[in-house]
Amino acid sequence: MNTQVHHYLIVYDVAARHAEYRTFEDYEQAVAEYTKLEDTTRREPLEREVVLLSADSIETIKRTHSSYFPTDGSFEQLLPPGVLQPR
Amino acid sequence: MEFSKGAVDRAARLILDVWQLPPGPDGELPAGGPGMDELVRAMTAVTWWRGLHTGPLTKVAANLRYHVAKEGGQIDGRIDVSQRLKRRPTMIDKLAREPQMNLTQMADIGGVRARLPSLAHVQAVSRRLAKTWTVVRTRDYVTHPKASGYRAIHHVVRRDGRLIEVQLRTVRQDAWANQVEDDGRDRGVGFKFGFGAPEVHAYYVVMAEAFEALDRGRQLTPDLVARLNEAFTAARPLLPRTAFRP
Repeated sequence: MNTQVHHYLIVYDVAARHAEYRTFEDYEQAVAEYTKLEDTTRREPLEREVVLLSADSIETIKRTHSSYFPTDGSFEQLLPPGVLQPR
Repeated sequence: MEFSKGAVDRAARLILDVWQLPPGPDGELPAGGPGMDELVRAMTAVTWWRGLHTGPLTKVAANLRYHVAKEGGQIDGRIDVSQRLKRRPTMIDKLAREPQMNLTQMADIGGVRARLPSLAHVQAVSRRLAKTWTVVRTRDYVTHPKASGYRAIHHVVRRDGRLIEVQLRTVRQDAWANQVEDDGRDRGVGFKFGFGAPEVHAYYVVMAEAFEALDRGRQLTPDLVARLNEAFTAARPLLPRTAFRP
């Protein structure tokens, strides 16, 4: 089973809760770009996170690294309905 | 360009030292620390070491996809396996948190994650890996959850001389971990590392307990539901609001 893996260089904007990403087929090239983005600041600002993730599709990344792709949903949704009734 | 392990470890320490000094005026390098040339060389050594993990990481992820498929671990017909090459700031921050650790001993520079449909799948895939791979360390956070509530099974495997960390999680365990990370980023507080208000952590712990019960096919007991609601009420003002946080 040979799955084609793609590389996604993700730049997550914390305030906007939004991820932009670029897709690479060549891992070395993706790593080089990753390093370049990291080099622009000595220490990363809190407003932004850069990360290099790889999978068969961006859909898989959205499922395994959902914190970079927030929706209106949250883990409370995984409780049976009606369980949470805050005062 | 190549570096010895010692040179890589010294380079990582140098970056950490620079980050821990107060910056000079206008964001310049701290006075009395290393110069720009030295810092750039250190960054190069650290990223070179990280780059050595890409091949082994890809192989481990491909093997994991195979094992997940063999155990019928697809979710909605998909195999949820991904890999990540650790962020440089996180590598250096980890050295700050664990001063005894050297960068070349860090086991999760290359990380692979599988999101699986059930606890039985997590355990079955875990057993399979233990049988067929060179596992150098296992952390069973299902049997022994972290104090934070974190649950998963982690294996550190050696592939082509490099250490790669494999995380196996149920859908609920994965949602929990991602939510803690997302909340922390949103609030600018390292909830994931135990920082922030105790009310928030108490809520995460009870929520993880509830997810564990559901993962084991149990009903939530009235006591657990009561504790969950109490914890949620206390944590709610400190958490980001979403449509599903009533």
